[in-house]
Amino acid sequence: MTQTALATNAVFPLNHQQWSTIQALQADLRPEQLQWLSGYFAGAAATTVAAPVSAPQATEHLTILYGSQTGNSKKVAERAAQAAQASGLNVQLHSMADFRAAKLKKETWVLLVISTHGEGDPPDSALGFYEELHSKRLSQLSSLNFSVLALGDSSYKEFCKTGRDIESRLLELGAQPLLARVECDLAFEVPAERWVEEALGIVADALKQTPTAATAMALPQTTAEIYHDSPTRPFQAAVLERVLLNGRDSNKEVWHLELSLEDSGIAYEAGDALGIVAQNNPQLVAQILETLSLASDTKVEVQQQALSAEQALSAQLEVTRITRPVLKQYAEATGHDGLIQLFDGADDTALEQFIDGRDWLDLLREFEPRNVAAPELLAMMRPLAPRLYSIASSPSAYPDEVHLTVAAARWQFAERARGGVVSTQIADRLAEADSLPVYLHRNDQFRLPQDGSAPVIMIGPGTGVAPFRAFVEERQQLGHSGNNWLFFGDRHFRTDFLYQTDWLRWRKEGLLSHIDVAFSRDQAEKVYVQHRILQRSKELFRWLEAGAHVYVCGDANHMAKDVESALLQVIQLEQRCTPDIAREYLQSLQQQQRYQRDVY
Amino acid sequence: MNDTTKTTSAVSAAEVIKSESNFLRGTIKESLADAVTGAVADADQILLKFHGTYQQDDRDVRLERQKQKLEPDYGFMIRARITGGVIAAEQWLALDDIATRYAKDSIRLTTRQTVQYHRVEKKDLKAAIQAINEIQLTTIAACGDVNRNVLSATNPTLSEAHAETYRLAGAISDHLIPETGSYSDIWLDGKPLYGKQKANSGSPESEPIYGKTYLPRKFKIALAVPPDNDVDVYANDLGYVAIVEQGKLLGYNVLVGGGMGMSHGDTKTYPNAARVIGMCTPEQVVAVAEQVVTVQRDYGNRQERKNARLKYTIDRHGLAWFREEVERRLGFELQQARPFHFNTTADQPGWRQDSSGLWHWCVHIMSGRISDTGEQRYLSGFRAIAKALGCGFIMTANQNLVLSGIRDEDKARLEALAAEYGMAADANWTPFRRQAMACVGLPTCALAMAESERALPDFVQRIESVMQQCGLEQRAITMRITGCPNGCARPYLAEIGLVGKGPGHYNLYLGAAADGSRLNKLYRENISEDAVIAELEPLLQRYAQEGLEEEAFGDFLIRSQLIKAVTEGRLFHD
Repeated sequence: MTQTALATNAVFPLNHQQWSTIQALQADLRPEQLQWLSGYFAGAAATTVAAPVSAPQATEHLTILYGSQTGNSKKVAERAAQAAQASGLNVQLHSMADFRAAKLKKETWVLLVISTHGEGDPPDSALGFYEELHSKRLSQLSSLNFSVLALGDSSYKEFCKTGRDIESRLLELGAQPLLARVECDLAFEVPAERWVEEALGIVADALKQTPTAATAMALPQTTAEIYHDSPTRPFQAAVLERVLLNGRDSNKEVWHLELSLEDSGIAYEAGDALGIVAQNNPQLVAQILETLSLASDTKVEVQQQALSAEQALSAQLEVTRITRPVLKQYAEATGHDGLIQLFDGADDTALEQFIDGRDWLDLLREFEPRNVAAPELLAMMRPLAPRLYSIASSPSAYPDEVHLTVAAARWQFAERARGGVVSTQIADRLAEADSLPVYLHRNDQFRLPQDGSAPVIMIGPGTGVAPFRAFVEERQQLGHSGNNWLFFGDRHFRTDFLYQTDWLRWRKEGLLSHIDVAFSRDQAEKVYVQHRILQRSKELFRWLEAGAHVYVCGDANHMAKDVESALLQVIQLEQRCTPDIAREYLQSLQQQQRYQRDVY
Repeated sequence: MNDTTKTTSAVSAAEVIKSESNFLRGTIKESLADAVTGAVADADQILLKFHGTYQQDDRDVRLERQKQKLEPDYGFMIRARITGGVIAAEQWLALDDIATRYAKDSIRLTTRQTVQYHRVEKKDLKAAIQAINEIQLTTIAACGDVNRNVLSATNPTLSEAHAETYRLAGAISDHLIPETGSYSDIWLDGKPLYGKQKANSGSPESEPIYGKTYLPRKFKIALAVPPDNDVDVYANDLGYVAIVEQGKLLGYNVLVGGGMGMSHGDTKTYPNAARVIGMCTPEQVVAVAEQVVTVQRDYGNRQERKNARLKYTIDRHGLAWFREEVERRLGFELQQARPFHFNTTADQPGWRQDSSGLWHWCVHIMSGRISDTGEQRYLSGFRAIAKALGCGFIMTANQNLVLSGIRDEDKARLEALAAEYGMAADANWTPFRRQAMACVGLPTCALAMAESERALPDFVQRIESVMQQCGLEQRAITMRITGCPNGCARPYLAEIGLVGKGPGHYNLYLGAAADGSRLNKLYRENISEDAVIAELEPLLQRYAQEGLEEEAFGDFLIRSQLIKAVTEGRLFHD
């Protein structure tokens, strides 16, 4: 649909007939219905733009490509596409998964949004594009104008590597940068919006289509009041319940948190995540203020906001970790030899060791903040990023609630107890009457099959099981007839079987036809989900052949890799094929959206 | 089989489960293999009892775990079958090892001369049961509607009559053990039980004595040698009392219809003390046992489990009828019963010497709980003694342990070890403390309504101090506490019986005979711990002032007409 919508005036996008229909409808509606519809149309608009839009042949167009793992890149790209459309540009939006790199030869204006994961890896869905781009299929792209927005996490060594690689490869192929690459850290929202605005301005100028008044971020901003979809526009969700899921004697600490979404307008889907705007531990903030001899109410400017030092350190700045770029700045400003030396030489083992585990308090205590004023120092700190948690409740069963499964991260370093910012906030500093600033983070890479009769295999050890609690109950609510199979694992059966009574109930009701569990520390030899997958090889392959969708959620570093190699082994064994063919089989599942991962 | 079930339509659910279980197999194997739950299927819970184990959960954390979306903390009780409670040091060490590996470092001596474990996780159940079978013991029929562990007068080495009685207890136990091959199938990978040539898995499989529905209810047998009634013979469905005249064992008086269990608020249920129906020769003991069992098999109530014990069968048909029916099946008549006399139900404290000159030492253990807690390290202590002395271990029906067959020269070493591990304190215990018993109760037992094992030390201390004030500290008074009316610690045969009614509340029963021959009677209903002490205080004071020399507390209460004597179970509630 929506050729009409695209073709109409950007300032007032409706034709007469559409407008009358709307007005007639409006007269008939109660306020809450209007509220609902506003959300509905915004959602419909988002979905529409998300689909590749074919532009009129003759006109020059802008292509926006994204490679997304957790959905952030996709979100930025969609926002950019909406803004471009609103400013009257012909725009095509594609996931790199659906876009062959060779097609770049025919493009003139391209914006690329790409994230980096793990040790500098592209998102799963962009791997093919990335490899093809670096292959010999492409020799030159001199007519291409482009800009790259790179998303990443500067606590990793290979920060924004995929974005850098793509930019340098495009330059190597002779493409023209319309705007230099912008790298975004975890708090990507603000720099990303700036990049979108700037890049679209340049493209619009070049295409001689001046942006109109209503433009740029108009659409996202108007919907913002309805959609709490960004950490900058959070909803204060009341805490309904908080329960420790681990039984006595467990050495794990996983919390089940129920939040109210009533009147938020947030309508989530199974598979989505909830973002929580972080707050640093007040004790740590106080210690940093003390070390800096800074009064808590000292006015500072952080990210273009005037705040008290305490507010900035509590809510705006990352203090629990230091990253390479941040440390480098600090080293240069303070001139401590001990720090400067870390950046000498090719080998950065010492640097890595130094960064590993230290927070700002350690740094300030070990290397006093000389030659640098407090506001300047705060400006060096990385913005405090929100935290995302997979939603563990079914939207159909709990439309006004969201359930989260939060593992409290705690560790000891240099004789001081440390903890995950949001997870310990939930574990230690949350009372039942409290509320948390939250926003919805859509995750379209992780969705139940459209076909209700399709079988579903869910692999989610530890807190990775969270979205599957939502999946199973959602399928029940929707009356999906397809079989469900869960693989779960943790340390101990007695104390760490997250949501055990839910699974037992759903098994009894016939909803979960299979459930296989692996408790690693209940016997001499460690057993994990991948071992159970291999043990169930024959049955599992039968499910794959019957059209099963496979979902993996949880730890990216070890689990997801081990599970993938177990799946490959299953295919190889049951199909009696070579490793390459097994890999192709799995890739084809991925292309059919039948192998989806939400790993972190 | 001689099944006279006339009203098969209305049999209880348990009867249906037994009948459809294929000789106690049910879906036990599948239940054990299900790794998603620590529980077994409902029907398998009934069947597992016949295999000597049953499902429980830690009730202290039940609600907490429910909130945590965790199922109850299930664990299994495993009870061994040990005739007369007699085992060797190596067997004790193996039982200890099983406790350490699978049962949270704790062994519970039961009131039926055996050991049981609690909180064994389902995943360890097979390994633990296998380990018990590897030391020439077993668990089959330790629970369930079958003949349970057979009690025999403590310590076979004390006299020839004790030895012969123990031998007969073993013969009865072997004769009445279920024949089903399911036990071997499920637990022993098809290997036969110790002492059996091969596992019974032939087809058609059969249970020559029990039939495929086994008995209507549990069945308990004990053999006593007067003047000790340390096995509480009157509490059993079938009891034998050795008749020894001039050192010669003439035979056994036969007692039938004892049993403890009842339900609160249901006067159709009641405890009963077994009654004498005659005497048999030692050679006839096994045959008598078989026929008493078959009469109960055929006439016991299979519609209502609460009315299924032998005591109700006998009361329904009459004692004379019962005797005749047994004699008819035996093909001979029982002899006239002989007089006998019991002194006590208690275990004799301290050292005791047998006819061969070897020594035996009784360690009194409160509630029979063998674990290491603080200074008292029973588990480690018995381990050290077993290793150092290699002595025999004999479990008593009073939840105590006799270390047996000690040579003169080893006595000092044993005492030193006992002292080292904090196990010698009972030398200074009052007779009252030594005799006190409690069932397992909360948090382990599913039936418990009030604390028992955990409440025992406090009750003992408080009553002890009242007794001390009255100058009664050297008097032996039996006190037994159970968390529910089913009577595992035989509370209705105690001079002071406390039966849990609700949290912190008990029924107080008084007036039983010290030799275990007469039931007690309800004195106060549903009273608090404080009220129990307040009620006992004036009675003990009167006993101190008015009691005759050698007169037991229970007998005094009857003589003073403070309590009406219960002459038979049917009159318990009158």
